[in-house]
Amino acid sequence: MPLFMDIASDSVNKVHEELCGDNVEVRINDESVIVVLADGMGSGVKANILATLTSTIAATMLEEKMGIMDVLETLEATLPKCSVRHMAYSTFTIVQVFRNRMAYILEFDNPPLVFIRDGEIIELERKEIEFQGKSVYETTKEIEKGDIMAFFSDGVIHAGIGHLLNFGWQWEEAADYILARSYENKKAKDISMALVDTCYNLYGEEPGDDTTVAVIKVEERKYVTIFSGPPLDQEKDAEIKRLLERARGKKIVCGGTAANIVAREFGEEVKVDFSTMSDRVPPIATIKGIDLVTEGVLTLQETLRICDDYMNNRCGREIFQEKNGAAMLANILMNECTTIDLIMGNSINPAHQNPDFPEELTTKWRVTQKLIDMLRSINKEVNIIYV
Amino acid sequence: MKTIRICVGSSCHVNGSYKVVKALNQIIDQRELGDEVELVGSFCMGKCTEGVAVECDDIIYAVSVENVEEIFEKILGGK
Repeated sequence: MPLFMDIASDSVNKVHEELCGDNVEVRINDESVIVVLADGMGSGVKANILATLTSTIAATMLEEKMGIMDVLETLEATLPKCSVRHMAYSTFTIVQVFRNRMAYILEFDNPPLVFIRDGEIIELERKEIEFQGKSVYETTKEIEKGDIMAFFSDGVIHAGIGHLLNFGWQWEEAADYILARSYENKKAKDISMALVDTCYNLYGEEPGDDTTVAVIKVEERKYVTIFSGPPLDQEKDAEIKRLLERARGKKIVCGGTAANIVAREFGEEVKVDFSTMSDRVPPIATIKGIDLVTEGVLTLQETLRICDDYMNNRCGREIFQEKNGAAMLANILMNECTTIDLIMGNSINPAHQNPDFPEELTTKWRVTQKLIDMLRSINKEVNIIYV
Repeated sequence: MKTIRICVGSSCHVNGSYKVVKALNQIIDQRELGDEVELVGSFCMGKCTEGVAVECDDIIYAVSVENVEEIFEKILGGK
């Protein structure tokens, strides 16, 4: 069973800049996971274009199995030359992890990648490649469960220059900071967010450079099974019981009717917990043998919003602490599982056909689809089982 | 002891079951009926299109914030 790559990245822009001059490109396919972090020279739109071009070209070419020399040549030939410095320039770090657990790391002028294993920072055996007078470093390493790879733009190690620290903090200090976070058994997202937040503070909230961090954490797979929506054919209700009985990991039921079916098939009762009710999200319920029972479409909509906020707005873990079905579901999806088996029924709730029903909720399917896309974009595996 | 079941499924939630639960709790508190009436939640009762579904003694009422007091009287009246 291949290991799971927990991938996250965060950025802050240089002060007064609308665009980030760094870019992180993530590609996930059946063979490997590719993460490219590029830092374009300068700042603003020019840097953004350089970084986006670099990361996209590198990721696409590697995905199509081109050799690394071809990638470097293409980058050299493609990048526009900076009019101020007469150079085509974007530093980058590429990490490609194959399903057979081999990681390929290529570094060009970014601060060295921090590789953590068994609570220690490991020195990588970097091999130097010469390319048109510049040095590129290549590393191949087998990964293990618990490994953390953190890489960042130089905005991180310059953080604090002229503000809190005379010369910024050094690579060693940033690496130690990541190492300390790794002891807390955190997710990749917690580490990238913490590091970027700290840099932002060191800069006195006025970053002197675009600052970007990408983190890959190698994890074991953890499963969750969600039953969402009743089957079209009522005779199939018994099959739901069979599917849930041999389900992997935590069992979740999303949807009122779905909950009623499960309770009936298992001969249990649905008990609604009013203390989790709020204006936005209907309350959760309990059914013996099921880990979480929530209402359907409204909870899913809110879950999607919470996950989105967590991924994109650096709002921290507090967002999962709220006592409602959506926060609990989001927490399980984001933090407690890597693989989701989704049992989908095709039945349509008559209420959702009501023209008075809010338009964005007219189909649970649409919300579910968005949630699936979001989960897949962060490398979670989603298997859909239609009933 | 009467048990009043309030639907908190998607449709009823949109139709205001949160407010109805609040209103019912308020009425029960005001009249000090905590020992006589119990509120429980329920997922979909299959009456999705007629307002918040509230069930007591096998009768399902369509409740809104406006008629909650009236319905409550009806339920108690049938004691």
